[in-house]
Amino acid sequence: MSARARIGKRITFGIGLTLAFAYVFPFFLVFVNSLKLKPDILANPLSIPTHITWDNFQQALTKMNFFRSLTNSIIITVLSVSLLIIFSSMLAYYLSRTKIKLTKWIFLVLVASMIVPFQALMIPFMARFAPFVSLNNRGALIFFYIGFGTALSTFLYHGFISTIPTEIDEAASIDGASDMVAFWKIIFPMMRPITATVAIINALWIWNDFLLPRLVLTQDTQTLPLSTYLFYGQYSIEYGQAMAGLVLAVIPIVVFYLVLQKQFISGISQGAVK
Amino acid sequence: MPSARATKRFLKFALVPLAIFSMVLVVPFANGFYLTFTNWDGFESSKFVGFSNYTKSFQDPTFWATLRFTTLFVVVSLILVNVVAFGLALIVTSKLRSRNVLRTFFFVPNLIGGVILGVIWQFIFNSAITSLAKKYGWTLFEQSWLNDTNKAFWALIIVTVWQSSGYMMIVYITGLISIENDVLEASQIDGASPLRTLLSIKIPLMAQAFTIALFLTLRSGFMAYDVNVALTGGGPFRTTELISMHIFQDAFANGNFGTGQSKAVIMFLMVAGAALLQVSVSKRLEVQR
Amino acid sequence: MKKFTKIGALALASALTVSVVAATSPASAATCAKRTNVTMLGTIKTEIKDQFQAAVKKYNTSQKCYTLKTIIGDSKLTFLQNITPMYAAKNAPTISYTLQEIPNMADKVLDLKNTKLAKLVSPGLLAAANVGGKQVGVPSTAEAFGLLYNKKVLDAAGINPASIKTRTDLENAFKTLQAKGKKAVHFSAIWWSLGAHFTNIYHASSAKTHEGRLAVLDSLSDGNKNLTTDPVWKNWLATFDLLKKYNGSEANLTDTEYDASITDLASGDYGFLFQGNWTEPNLMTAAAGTDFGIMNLPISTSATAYGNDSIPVGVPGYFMIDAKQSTKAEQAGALDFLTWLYTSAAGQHFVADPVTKGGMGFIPVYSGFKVQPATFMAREIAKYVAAGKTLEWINTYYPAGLQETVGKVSMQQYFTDKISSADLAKAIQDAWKGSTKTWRGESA
Repeated sequence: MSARARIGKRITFGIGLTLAFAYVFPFFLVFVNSLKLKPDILANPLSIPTHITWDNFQQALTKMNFFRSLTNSIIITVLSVSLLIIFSSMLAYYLSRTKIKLTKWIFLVLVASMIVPFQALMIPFMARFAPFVSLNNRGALIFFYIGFGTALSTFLYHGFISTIPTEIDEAASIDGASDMVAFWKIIFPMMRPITATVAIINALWIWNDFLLPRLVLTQDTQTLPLSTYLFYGQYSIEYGQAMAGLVLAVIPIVVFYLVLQKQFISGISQGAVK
Repeated sequence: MPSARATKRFLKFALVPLAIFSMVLVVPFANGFYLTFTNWDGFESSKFVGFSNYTKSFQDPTFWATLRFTTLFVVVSLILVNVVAFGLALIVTSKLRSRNVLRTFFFVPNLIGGVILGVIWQFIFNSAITSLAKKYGWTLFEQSWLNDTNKAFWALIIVTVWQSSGYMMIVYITGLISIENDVLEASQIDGASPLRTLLSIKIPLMAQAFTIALFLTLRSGFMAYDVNVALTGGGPFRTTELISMHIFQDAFANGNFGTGQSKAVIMFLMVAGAALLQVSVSKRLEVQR
Repeated sequence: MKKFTKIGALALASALTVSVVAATSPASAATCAKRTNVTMLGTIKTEIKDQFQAAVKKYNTSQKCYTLKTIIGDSKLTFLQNITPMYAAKNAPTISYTLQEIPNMADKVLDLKNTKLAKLVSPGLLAAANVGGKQVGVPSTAEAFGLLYNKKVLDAAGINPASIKTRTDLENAFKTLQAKGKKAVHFSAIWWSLGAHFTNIYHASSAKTHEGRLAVLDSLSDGNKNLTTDPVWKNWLATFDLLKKYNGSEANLTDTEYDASITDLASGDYGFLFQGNWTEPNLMTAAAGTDFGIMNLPISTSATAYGNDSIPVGVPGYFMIDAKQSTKAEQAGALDFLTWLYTSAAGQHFVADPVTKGGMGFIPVYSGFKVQPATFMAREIAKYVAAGKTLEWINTYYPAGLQETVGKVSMQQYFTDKISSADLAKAIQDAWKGSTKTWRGESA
């Protein structure tokens, strides 16, 4: 390695490290303050706790009904994301491979729908689906997420599929495979990097969503983020417990991200051998 | 006339997702659009009022102020988020040994929901920064940034960039790794400088990623709501209300459902225009390569 | 009969000082085929949510018919912003709780006129929730706001709160505190304090009679009130300036301000804070063993001016029971819970005992309370009430959204010297102009 390249690498590393510090600092702040009592937090949010208290975590665990909320969050997120991946990858494949006027229009409507503000839908939407919601609110929520997530996921898949040469489909159909088999056996595995992206993007949105679950779910089916709101009052905030609740709510999604990141890396290396 | 095979294909691949999509999005949207022409009060509508909800919306001076503020916010956040995100993507796709750790760090802000994030940053701007500033005499930071319209704008931008650049970084990484290695090696052998490689090989070859990232930031800029509510709450003096918050305020706090819904339709048309322009320009650039 | 008059104050005094024969009837001992779920939006307020949840738990185990469940509202949104989507979703909570938005809710909730609870409250305290003869809600408690003080700090500086009778006295007290090396006052810039409570000081003092005060609202709504020529307004403005001048804290216009202001008063660095008695639980937790009192905020230089010796006392919110989307059983459960809370011995413990004993520290407004408030500030409020030194909560009649418009914009702008006092007067006049006269029974 040349001297110049080494210096360049060092500068990149320096910038990267500084930025990384800036990106995680607020996160660190949350953790530190979750170990402090409210008066200490208010007095100096930057100070390191002199004596560590786990009281906040204890309180947060029981008040949030942590394990039930966690289960709800997992069920809702996993089902919504899986179904979204299945439906939107198929739809994207169809739209990108079938070049007729209709598919162009559908794609346009999908893209346009991404910019519909939720505020514009909220009330007519809720009134329409009320009976459905009272029947099974988790099911209803998953259904809504598929509806709202289809456009963006399809859009992302659509972009990726257009980079896959059509010769691959043709080869499969010559081999006698049906459309469905060709798609799931050949095309879908090739889209792993974008599937990981679609999964991460949707999982984060669904996991952290607040407005929709609040309208739809009840106390028994509430998700983790919903339960962390318990600590935010109109006037006053239980900072210590809120921070502890936040740490608890974030751990599962961090784990999820770290796991999927591996998928991501394998996607990267596959791309490299190709 | 589509063939039987094409119809079958449509039924197999597209029917279910499109049906759900229409039920959840298209129908309620059309319904909401219809309601803007009635005297809807959030619960019932009894008569047609023509365009009066739209005229009222445009006569509202705070709506115009909000539109100006939102446009400024979208433009500035669009530029900064993408510049930073692309930079981050370059860092974590470089040959650094620590690149995987760095990538995880950059993405961390995305793991927190907007409202909670706003509360944390409110705390940082109000307490953490001001207490440091007083200790070390940084005059720029002695007063909380959230007390001043211009600085509160930048506070919103900082938090937005901090939150969404990691997300857009992912999109750019996907773009960067899709570039074939032999192309890069060829350019290296040709003796192209890293900057030259970046400008004439990498960026053109990943134009698709730019299209997506720009579109996503454009969209999230217009729709920003959580951070706005939690960080500035529209303050000081209601000068930092972005359009989503303004609509929510109008409809639910002041009970003006008719104008609230109309403003949502106006917002939709604006974003549609901006997005259409952006995507068509980007697509043209993609084709040119 | 929209009055918070002497009758109301008297009734409150009797509720506070006399403990009437226990009217505690055990909550319905009937057995039910199955439990009915009853929902409530919010937990009255955040400060006492743990205690309220404990009361709910106790209630749920005390009988077999109903299970009360609380729904967490989004704290960043107003009451209407929270409840409107729920009604639209046909998912309305059975019990809701609010103040300013009562006119908006009137046609959606039950008339509680003939309930046991309503009969235990004086008409004066029911008035604000009486819309066109319909009793829309029942009160939770009475609250007061004014100048809170840290007794230790004032004692050390040799200041006797009772001797502060005029604005001039107040300024002297501020000067004394500063001379002792303390900060005089934390004047909070939080929007609801400025928009609802501080403006109320003007409105409540604007005329000697209830009718006179409503007439001021009428003229504001009609657009023919000129505030700048009103002597009460001038005094109020001078008090605003005085508090700004002696404010020892940095202006903070965001939500973190409330917690910060409580910390400041509790720390012992400040003498005074303009706030209400709802902060007492937090103050007592932050500084155990210190007494925190409340006193009048004198705006006039004349000790005998109307309202100068009084503190605003009123009902902070009313419980309402949904009539549109709840079943008969849910409605019965809602009423059963509220009746249990305010009339049973177990419920009263949660209502009136101090936070330190696991209660919400409320000042009882229903007759028949065995448990009496024991904290220093509650006793001080009781004294003001017993002496008839109370001001009306005119902010109860503010149109929905007005305290936000005024508090977040013009009041905070004046607070931070962005606009002149003339601009402030004009902004408040403009905010009122054309508003619906709900205080005259016009529908919202």
